[in-house]
Amino acid sequence: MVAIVLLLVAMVMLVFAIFNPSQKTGLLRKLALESIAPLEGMINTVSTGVGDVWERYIFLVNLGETNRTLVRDNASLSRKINEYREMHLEYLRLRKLLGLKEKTDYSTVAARVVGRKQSSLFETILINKGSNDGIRVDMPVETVNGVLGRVIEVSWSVSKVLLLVDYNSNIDTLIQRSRAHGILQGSGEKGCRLRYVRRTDDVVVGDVVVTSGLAGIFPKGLMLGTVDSVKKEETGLFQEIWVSPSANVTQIEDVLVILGDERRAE
Amino acid sequence: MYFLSLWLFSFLTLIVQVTLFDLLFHGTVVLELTMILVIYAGFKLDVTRGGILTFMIGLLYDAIAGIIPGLFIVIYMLIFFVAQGISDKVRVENSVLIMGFTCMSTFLEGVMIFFIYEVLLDIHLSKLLFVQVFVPQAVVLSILAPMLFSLFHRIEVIAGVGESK
Repeated sequence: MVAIVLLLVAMVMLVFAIFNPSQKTGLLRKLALESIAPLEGMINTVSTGVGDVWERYIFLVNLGETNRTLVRDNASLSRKINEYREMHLEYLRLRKLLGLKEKTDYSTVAARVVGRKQSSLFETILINKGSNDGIRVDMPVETVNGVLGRVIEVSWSVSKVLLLVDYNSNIDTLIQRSRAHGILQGSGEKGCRLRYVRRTDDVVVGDVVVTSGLAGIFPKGLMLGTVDSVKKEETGLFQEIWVSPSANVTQIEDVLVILGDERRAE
Repeated sequence: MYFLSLWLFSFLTLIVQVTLFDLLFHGTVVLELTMILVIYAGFKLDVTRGGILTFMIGLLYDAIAGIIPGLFIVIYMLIFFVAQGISDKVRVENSVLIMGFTCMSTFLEGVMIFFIYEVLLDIHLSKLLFVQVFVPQAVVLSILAPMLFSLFHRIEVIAGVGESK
């Protein structure tokens, strides 16, 4: 009898979640997250430490060659940074002339990943910051390389992040070069699929995909990835486009949660 | 006390599942030990104790890994009831039966997830995903299941709760 009642409770929860997705995380789920995340974090810290020792002090094969390559890359990147600095200064001058306001001042909070891929199918991670740090559901999460996903559940000191490669993830996007519009949908290990891009739109392999800022969750212009392949069927309205996410979703240690646009808040 | 140890045990199983396997397989394979624990509960425990254990495992796994609240609880509860039904009719110590049922349960889980995504949520999952995720999962879990069954049984005996069925 008890088991049947529990099954019914679970079914009601499931039906309610499907047809009325809530923005709030229930107390039981919060408690479960709070109890498991510290242990996961501890094990991850130990494993990362062991991995660091292995990579820094033991596994030193090809270190000399890697060092030479890095020195070359460093020189090249320094030149590029200088070029970009010049371009940025020019951009600032032009923007001032046009009277545009700064749009990219976001307040962020840094968080550490305490739990990686928890299920075979769902692409989520746990981070060690929650509502106590100002994090709310639907806040964007990024790495230094680009957007990682968005917060879907928040507990007091732990949050769950839905990665952009999950099937449930849909992000409104723009092709940076041609400004073609589409929806970036997660496709698991295959990366992401850019949907609803019209056949006539100009998209080529290597194009950068950024957030459009239209859906109200992600600010405009955040890096999402690059176009991997483009296929135009003989019939049909849209192109088949695959995108490789710029953030490495399998090896994430630290992330930034975008709390909001400071200027807009002011 | 009994339910506290069940809770603790579910908790530890889940910890092993989501952390140690991540370290070993780097996120490529997630072995659902919790599924085998649910089958064990269905085969070996009575309806009330097994049902509560299954609910706890589903709730924890849902909170940690799930995206749709209640999904894993429903899947695990259904698997538990099927296991209960079978355990009344056949000898559940048979390793082949345990392996076969684990394999079937993994596929059942896959079918339910696909059904919910395709029919209720209108999200189209790649058909290949079934082959890439659930087939290897079913094979590995089936092989591990008899060993884990004896491990769970030992823990049950050590914890002093004995067999309840």
